[in-house]
Amino acid sequence: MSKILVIAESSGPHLTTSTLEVCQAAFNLATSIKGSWSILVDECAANAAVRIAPDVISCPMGEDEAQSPGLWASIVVKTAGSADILIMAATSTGKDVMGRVAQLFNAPLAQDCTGVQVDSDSVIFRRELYGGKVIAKTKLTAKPTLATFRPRSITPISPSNTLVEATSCPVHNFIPKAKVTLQARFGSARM
Amino acid sequence: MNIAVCVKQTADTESQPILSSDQSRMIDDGLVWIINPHDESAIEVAIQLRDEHGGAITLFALGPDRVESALRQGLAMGADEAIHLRCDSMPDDQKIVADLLSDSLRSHDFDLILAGEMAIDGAGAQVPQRLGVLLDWPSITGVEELNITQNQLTARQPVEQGDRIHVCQLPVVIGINRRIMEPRYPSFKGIMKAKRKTIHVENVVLDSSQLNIESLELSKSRSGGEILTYEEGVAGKVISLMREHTNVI
Repeated sequence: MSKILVIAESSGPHLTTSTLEVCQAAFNLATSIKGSWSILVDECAANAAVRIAPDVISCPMGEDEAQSPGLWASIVVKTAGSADILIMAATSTGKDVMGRVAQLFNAPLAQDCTGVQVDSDSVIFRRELYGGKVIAKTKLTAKPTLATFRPRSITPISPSNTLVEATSCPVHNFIPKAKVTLQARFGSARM
Repeated sequence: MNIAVCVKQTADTESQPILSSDQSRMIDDGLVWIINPHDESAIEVAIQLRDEHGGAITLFALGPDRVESALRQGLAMGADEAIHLRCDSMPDDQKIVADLLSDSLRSHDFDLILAGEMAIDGAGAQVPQRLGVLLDWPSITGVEELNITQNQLTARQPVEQGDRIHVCQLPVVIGINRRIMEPRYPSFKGIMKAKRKTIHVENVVLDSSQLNIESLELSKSRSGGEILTYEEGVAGKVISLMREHTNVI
């Protein structure tokens, strides 16, 4: 049975809208391939995730640590376990993290997908090329399969009344190659 | 400071793509080939850093023979050397691109590797991150501001929540966003000088791809849109249109 892992982005205690969209993609995929799906989330948003996903893995991250794409990538690789499909939103962070994860797994990656379908047991990702002039149906033949989804291309999943227990995953032995801090910028940010 | 710039020759997205009859690939005929704009800005950044700190700039490009014109243009802008990793076609799988680039980059001594954060044709957006992992260097992508003092690099990476400020020691791989600065036009003197420069060619063999394009189709052209006139109830109509046709609200 195929396992799907969603790598979540959060804003404080909330999951971002683009993560909720990726959760819907995971739900749809899991239904199509008769698989299961989980979510990997920063501990501070675990309470939101337990209303969304059937299986939640939470990681305690410091405020600055949560900004490090390198740290996220190393956590994903340690946590992915037997996941066959890893997906994340194609935000600046998502594309950054998944590029690293793909290389750490030595696997191909389909970035900025606008849709996904299952065609006789194969997962086919839809991507826009040449500035949106061409639509490509792309198949990845390696395991794990990695993809990011363009924000606003899928309807976000709705929270359910069912709560699941989150499993905690420790963060350890990561020496960052760069010090990363977040500076606020004026203007609106999409949650 | 010795700087490498990874350059991709891309089809200009202003040109109209034509698909093969089986819709499996794009036909190259009629496409206008340019340097990927993010890479062109990376060359500009490299030139300004070299002029400030000294050293040399080496361009790397993977692809068929046509790629030479992109390297000549980069040399005309002001790069010092160029290496063409020659193969029969451009791979769709960015893992192959990063593997080949890293193999060649390793055999030189660079302080900084620049690349565009993504290519405008394939929108793969992963080569800088992959190079960082392959070379075991820090990597920062989507960079719109860059400062180097002594051996320390500070980079600004805009993300949805604000600006991430990365600080690390060289060597580093940087994925440049074209917004960082406008690239210069090659001067006549630069073009003439570039013609005389030797482009070093390394023939490479592409691994089998694990990312396969099953089919292509042309996007439907956009309709002209709906023009609403200012009248009573127009706000409600706008809201219902946004609900029905977009995912905005």
